[in-house]
Amino acid sequence: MFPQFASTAASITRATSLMNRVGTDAYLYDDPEDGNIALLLDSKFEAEKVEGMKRLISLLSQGRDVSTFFPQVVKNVATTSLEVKKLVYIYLVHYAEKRPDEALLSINSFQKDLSDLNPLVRAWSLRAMSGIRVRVVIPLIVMAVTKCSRDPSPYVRRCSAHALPKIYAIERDSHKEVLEEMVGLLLSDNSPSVIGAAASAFLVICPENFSLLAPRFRKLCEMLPDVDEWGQVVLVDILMRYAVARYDCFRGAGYYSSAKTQSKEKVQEGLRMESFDHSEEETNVIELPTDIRGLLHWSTSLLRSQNSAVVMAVAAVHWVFAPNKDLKNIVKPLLFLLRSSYDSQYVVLANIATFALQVPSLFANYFEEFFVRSCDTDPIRALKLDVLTTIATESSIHAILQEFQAYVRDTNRQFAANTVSAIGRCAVRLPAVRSACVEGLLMLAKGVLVGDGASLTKEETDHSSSQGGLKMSVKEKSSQEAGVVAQAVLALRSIVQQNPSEQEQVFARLVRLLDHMKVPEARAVVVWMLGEEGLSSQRISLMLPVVLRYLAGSFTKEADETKLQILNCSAKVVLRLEEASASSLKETASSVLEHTLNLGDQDMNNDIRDRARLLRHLVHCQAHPPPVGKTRESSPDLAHRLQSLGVDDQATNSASQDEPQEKSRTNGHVSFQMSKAEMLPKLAKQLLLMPKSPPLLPALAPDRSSFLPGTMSHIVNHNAPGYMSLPEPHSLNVDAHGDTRGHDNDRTPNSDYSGSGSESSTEFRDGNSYDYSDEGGSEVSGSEDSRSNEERSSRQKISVKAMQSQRQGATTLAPLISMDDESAGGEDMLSRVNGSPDYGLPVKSGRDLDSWLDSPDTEVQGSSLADVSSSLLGYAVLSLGPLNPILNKLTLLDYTNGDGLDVKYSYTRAPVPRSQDTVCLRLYFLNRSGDPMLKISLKPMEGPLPADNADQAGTTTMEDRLLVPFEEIAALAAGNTIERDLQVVSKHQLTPIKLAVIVNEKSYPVKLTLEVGALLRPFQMTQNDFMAAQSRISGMHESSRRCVLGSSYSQPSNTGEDKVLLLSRAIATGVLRVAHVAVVSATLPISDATDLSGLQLCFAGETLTEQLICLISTTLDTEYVPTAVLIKVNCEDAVFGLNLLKQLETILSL
Amino acid sequence: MQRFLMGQPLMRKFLGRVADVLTEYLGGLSEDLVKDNFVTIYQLLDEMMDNGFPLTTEPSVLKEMILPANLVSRVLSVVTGSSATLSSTLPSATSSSVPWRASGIKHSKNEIYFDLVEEMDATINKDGFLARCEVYGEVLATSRLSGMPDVSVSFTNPSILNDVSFHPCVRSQSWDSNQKLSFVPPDGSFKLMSYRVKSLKNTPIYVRPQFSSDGGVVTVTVMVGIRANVGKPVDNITLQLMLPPSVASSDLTANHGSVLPNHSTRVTTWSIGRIPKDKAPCLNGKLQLESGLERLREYPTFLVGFKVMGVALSGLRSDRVDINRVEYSAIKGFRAVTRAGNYEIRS
Repeated sequence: MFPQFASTAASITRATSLMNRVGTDAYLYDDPEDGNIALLLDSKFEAEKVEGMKRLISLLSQGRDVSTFFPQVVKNVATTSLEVKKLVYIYLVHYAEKRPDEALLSINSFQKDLSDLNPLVRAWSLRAMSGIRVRVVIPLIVMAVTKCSRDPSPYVRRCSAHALPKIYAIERDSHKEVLEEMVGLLLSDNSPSVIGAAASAFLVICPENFSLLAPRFRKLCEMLPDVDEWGQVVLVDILMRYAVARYDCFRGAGYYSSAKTQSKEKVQEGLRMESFDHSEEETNVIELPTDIRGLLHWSTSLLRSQNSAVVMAVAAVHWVFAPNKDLKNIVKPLLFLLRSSYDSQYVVLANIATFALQVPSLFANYFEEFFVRSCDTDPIRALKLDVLTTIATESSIHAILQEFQAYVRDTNRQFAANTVSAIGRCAVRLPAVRSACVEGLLMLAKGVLVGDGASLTKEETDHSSSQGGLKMSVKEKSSQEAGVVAQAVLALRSIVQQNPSEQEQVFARLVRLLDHMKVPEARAVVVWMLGEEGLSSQRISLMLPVVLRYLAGSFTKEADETKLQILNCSAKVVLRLEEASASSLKETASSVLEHTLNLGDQDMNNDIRDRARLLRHLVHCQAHPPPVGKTRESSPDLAHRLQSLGVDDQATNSASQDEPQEKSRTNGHVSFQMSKAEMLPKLAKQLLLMPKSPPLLPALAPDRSSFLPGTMSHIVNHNAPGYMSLPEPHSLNVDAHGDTRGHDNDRTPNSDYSGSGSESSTEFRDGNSYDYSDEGGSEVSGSEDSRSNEERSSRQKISVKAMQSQRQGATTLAPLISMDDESAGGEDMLSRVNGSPDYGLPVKSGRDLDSWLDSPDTEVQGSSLADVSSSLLGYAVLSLGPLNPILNKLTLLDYTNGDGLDVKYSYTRAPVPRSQDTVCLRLYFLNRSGDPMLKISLKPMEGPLPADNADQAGTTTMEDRLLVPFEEIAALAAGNTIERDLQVVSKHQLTPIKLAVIVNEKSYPVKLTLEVGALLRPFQMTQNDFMAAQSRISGMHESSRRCVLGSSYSQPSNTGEDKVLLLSRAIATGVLRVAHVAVVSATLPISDATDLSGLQLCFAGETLTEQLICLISTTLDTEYVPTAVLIKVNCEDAVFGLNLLKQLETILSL
Repeated sequence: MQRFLMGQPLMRKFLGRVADVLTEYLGGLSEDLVKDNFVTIYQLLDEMMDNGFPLTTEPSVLKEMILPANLVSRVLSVVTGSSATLSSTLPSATSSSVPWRASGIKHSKNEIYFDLVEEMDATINKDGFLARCEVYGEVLATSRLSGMPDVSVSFTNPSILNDVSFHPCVRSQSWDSNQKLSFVPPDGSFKLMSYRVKSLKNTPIYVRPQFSSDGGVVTVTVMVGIRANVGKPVDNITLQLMLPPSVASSDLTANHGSVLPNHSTRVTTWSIGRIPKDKAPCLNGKLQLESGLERLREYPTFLVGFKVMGVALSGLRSDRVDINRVEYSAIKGFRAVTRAGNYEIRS
């Protein structure tokens, strides 16, 4: 009713000024510049000010720049009218960053408002003040927040918690300590509404600083139900991270496997088994730590929240911690979410799929929930099919198959094809229903039968119905059926291959169906099976001659992919029969091969012609060695053709993975020993008769288990910006006794959690339940601990402060440069994700100067980009190819000092997945004495070194810098070497880390000095970006030095390789040995091909801790002899840059 | 803002909440409404989130901070010349232990109403077998009670509830111990709980589709009727079928109600309304298949819609509503309605 009123009112507005404000603000939006805004703002009537502000905001929302009104608006900040104030704040927050100087004028009145009696005014002014992103006022904002975090009103305290991330976003480092302190303060607030905001601040500012949570953990758990729903989501998340860091996760699964991607499958399998073991054998033995039980207990009631985000977050916690028997708590709430919130159905389903994959029994009884509805979208259907196939059990499979039958009739044919594939997977998983499934699938495979199949069909249907399995009536052909039929054949293939001997009959029937199959893809699969398995089965080999003759006859009518398979198949059969005595089959096979090869030679498709020629050489040469000359002639491109064999198994796209590697190996053979014709038979067998692992039917949706359930990354299945994996288990060493003492003195833990499990109370009272793990448990006991803990935490504090001050020192050097944190952060994240150690540069095929001529096209494109890129014109870009810098082993402990124990180390330069600022080292322990050594371990130095204890006080304690506790070497026999990996937190410090090597209970102090170059990580950028960055990071951040290029670099090249490439590779390798950076480019001015002057190599990296860009460039100067090289380092941390420069100079002048 | 720090579900849910609140404030959500009330929306958004994190999202609290623009306030603003849409004091709820309810609410007429809104989901296979049948329901409450009332609601048969989820105001322990809903209600309308009742056996109506193909033409017959008397008349019966891609054209007529084919979406809707007493509604007609096809291969699924007023098909019954801690006696009411949710018949 209002719109009508508004429109009528709008027509009257022009007439009377009194009626002006009747109705909505529509007229302000439609015609915002109707009045003189400046005049309105300067008016002394509140109402006119409001109107002026409304007009401004309406312009602002329409995308107009109204920042010119800033001075007038700022004047109104001091108003007493709340309405004007609010509108002014909205405007201020929007434009303050653009006009920082004028924004400063408002600070005074903000500060006045902060002392207002009305909490609403205090909160608003704090929010607006922290919202103006002006760097200069940060200290004032920090003060304001500090004040407000002790405000009597929870609402104001809550706003102060929200302000913390805003400060952090502008000034990352300088106030970190204060911010963390305030997060701690707000986390111990008594008002639940503050806790949620404090939790989100914690997550932004110091997600790793779990020592803040330690003393409050129990209280936070108890407050969970009272916190607002958004806060619950965040709070549950940080409590979970804390508990993982402190104890362990029960079902971490994916995170480990993501570290070892190579053997992902196996690891997961292992973990899955492991978790089963836990559940079945040890649930009664293992006691969950009290803290975790508390978290589970208090979060359980949240599973009934109406907010799907809360339910998902709690489900993730239970997933990580709950033992299997308690895990069922999350099942029904999750399933209910599928119905109660349609908008998040896909997200919930994806999480369920991950859960079900690892613990199928969880959802086994609820299979009906996953039946597809007609309104489900395709991705949801695929997920549901996946879940159904994973959770199907012997008892539920019949109902599921019956449901699948309905799906096969669905109008969505892609869905029908997916269903067929799902049936195949069920059959592979559950032998009990295999025969029933096979019958059904055979019916489907035959789906293309025309008319005459009636008798056959009847027989089949009887057969299947007697087994209570699938009944699918045969329908006539349809072009859309192709996918379904192909899937059916693929499913049958994988069933047959899983168990060839048992399913021989199925195979035979499949072969018999060949004549009725019209779908090329399906035919190709059957022919491929014939070639692979045909001879291993007695029954099929009897059929083979007939089938082969049939295939030879139909060759010309086949589709291309089937033709290729027929060629392969007959070649395989011939090769397999090579050693067999002469038989009719052998004769038939070779004549069929001859025939099809001849036909293939004449084919229209060049792939088929190539394949035919290739096979002719491969297979025939052994039967009738061809004339030598012919082989020669074909040899150069044979290697190339071999690659085309990759097509061989295209129909079996899911075949074995090890095959490509194998092939590339044989490729190597080819290039070396091609001239010998006798290699060919061997090669032929390797190529064609490679044993292949039985194919698996792929799941329809990706396996997302490498990400934490409920996160954005889990859904998109790659590392989304902001994703934090769970912290390292046991990475936090806090003693439970000392910390939670304050809370549970009046109640026994028993009464607290009586509902959460069936554990016997005596076990629970046991003090040892704190030590969930076996490590670390042994050293923690009794009251002595609480003391040592206090000690430790105080020491930690000192170290944090020390670090802070150092950081401040580092950053104050660079106030001129303001990197956009937001965008740079995102980029880093990406470059880190795919941060495989490859050394930059697209590898171009050309290796010599000639190829330069066609390469500059990239630069021509770039020339439109301002002046920086124009300097690139006239340069040739070299491609260096992969570089392998050899990293020196450095001595940690000399054997003369270590009584025969020699410890060396080198940098592995492996990316550390969890921690940003960690350097990986590999230690080599060599026993050079005559006796075996026992119990070698490496520990951080306890206490200060006797020599320089004075400087020791301020620096970081050494425990903090060793990330992973050193695994002790039990014994080292004489003359043996053992390797150990070590992770060291760099903290961007070049001060040596003091360690002690302990052998035979004797301790040898050593110092580990990290090299400057090791504190970098490669940073990928284009050359244009490099130039731009270099010109930006100049002045005092640039340091350069000219030195004479060492003799080792200018050795004359005796090979055909060209001089320029050799030299640049040598220099690049040198630089990479010193610093862990990425190659950006290598350029040479195109003037005279023989002149090396001006050869420039660029490298880029970023520092581990602060992610400052560090650029290195080397330029060759041949004007004087000996050749000189100009090294330039640009880094915002000037000291760091100088150190790096020194190192580079040393290595390049060697 | 916070760079995806918040999980994906949280973001979705929050956006949904913003939309809900705006709808409640503006009485709808459309471009014009947004334009007309842009100042209110700016103020609302500013209050609902801070730095990208949800701040105050409880509608009743928001209404105290930012007064919804209604006719009265507009006329008032004309009369008094001030147009304050912002409250000058902080709602007391932000600091109380029941953040969803302000203290000191006064109504001249105290009343609380509950609506059971149920949706029946069912899947019936082509042989008439009931593959599944369940009811998803919500209890929507509208509360206009003065003071700080403590309401408790009990059901006669709470054991049939398979899953439940509650508004944050509902005390979880009370439900766990005696299956009672005990809560201090927010003022206004809110979703008190949602629930699901599974494994139901009775569906109110039946649909029997028959297809027979001959030479590229499919003859269709669909019969619809009441299957079990649910006590109240079944209204607004509709039947939707999406024609399979292989169907070129269709010609369907019914002896009762209207048939509306939609050629762009390929969905044919048959609106029956209420089933007449004297005859059984029946849909007849022919489908012409694409050339080259002899018989129908993929069969459509029928989506059924209906509405039954006054009956909760799940069988859930309210037992009693008590209002404690207040002096007055209030009007209490319970209503029920059942609609078809995802009620599909395979053919």
